[in-house]
Amino acid sequence: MADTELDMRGEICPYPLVESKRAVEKLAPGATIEVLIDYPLALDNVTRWAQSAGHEVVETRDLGPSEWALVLRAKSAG
Amino acid sequence: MGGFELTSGIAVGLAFGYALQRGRFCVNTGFRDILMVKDSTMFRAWALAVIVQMAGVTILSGLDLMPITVPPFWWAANIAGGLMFGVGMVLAGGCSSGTCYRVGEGMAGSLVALVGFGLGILLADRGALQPLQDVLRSNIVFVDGDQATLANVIGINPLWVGLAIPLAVGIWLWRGGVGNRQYASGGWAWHISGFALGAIGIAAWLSSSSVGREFGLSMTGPIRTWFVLALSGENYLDWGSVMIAGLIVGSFVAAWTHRELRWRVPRGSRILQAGGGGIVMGVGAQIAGGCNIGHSMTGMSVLSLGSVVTTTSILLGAWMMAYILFIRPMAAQSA
Repeated sequence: MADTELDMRGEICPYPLVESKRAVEKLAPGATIEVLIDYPLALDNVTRWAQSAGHEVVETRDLGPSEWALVLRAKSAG
Repeated sequence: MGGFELTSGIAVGLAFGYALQRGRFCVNTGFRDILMVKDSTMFRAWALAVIVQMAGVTILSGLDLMPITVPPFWWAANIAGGLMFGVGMVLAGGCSSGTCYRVGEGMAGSLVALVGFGLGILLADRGALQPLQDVLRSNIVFVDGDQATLANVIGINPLWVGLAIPLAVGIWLWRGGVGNRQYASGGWAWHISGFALGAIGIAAWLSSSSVGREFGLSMTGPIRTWFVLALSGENYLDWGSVMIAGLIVGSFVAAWTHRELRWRVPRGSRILQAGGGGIVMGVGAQIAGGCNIGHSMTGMSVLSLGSVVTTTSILLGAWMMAYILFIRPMAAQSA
């Protein structure tokens, strides 16, 4: 179970990316967040941003047709 | 409409829609994310699609195998329309091709943006904003009586320019490498979608030109024909119109066969934003004489100066709006 959840289902581009970035940057180091996404491009670019920013992609759970739960862990401080 | 016009238009549209959906190809994302998150993945897909088509069209027209039409350089319309289109696509959450393929995937926000796009086109083409379009398009720059291109403006054979640009950009893409080929959603990696879209662009030129429409893929004109038919009954449907219908069906099939078809509805304020953005996009695309496909892919492939200026303006408009809407608020939060 992640520490917080962010439901981005139904959102248009690029709000899933913008809101995920905002939420992860507010997390304490090592804390996790589960982002619900229903749009393939958003899953790709949120995952790519998280990896390039040094956060951990803990898991990508397939919830059904075009619906995923992406669990991210905020990078440790420093 | 002849049988070949109908079938080839639908076939190219089906392939186009399928490739757009599997590649999640969106020029809005490509242009915006370079600035917003320093991610050039989608921009590279677009650049590859442009150079593949440019090299193919340069060779085919150079060998006189295909007639081409170069979009005009009405610089004021290219700049103003391009800027408006860039602003509108960031608001709408997708460029014109991105919006259309997402309609096929079941995204309600994109359907609203598409309706806005069609209305915006009519507003500038034959509605209240037609005088603005007429003024902005009144000054067309020709070079020795021909439409201005990157080649004739500097007096070089188009064959050289049309092969040198793909070579230079190709080397830049090659040196950057492909990167991670496995995307989280299982879609095509950027180099596959870029190459596929470039090849579909060439197929579009060949089939469309063979039925007298001497142009390749475009969105604005074809979408206009459907809205004119729906709202006034005048029938201008052509190769491009059936291609657009094929695009939406192609995207639907791609989404359906990959478990990505789903009806998705954003909240109310976002619906308004998508619709408003769509209208701004439509006005801009109509004034400029094309959008991120007609100018930024097809027009670029024939080296049109108007298309280069429009594409640059789209990029600047998108960056301006992304800065106001996303980058500045994010920076304020981190500060």
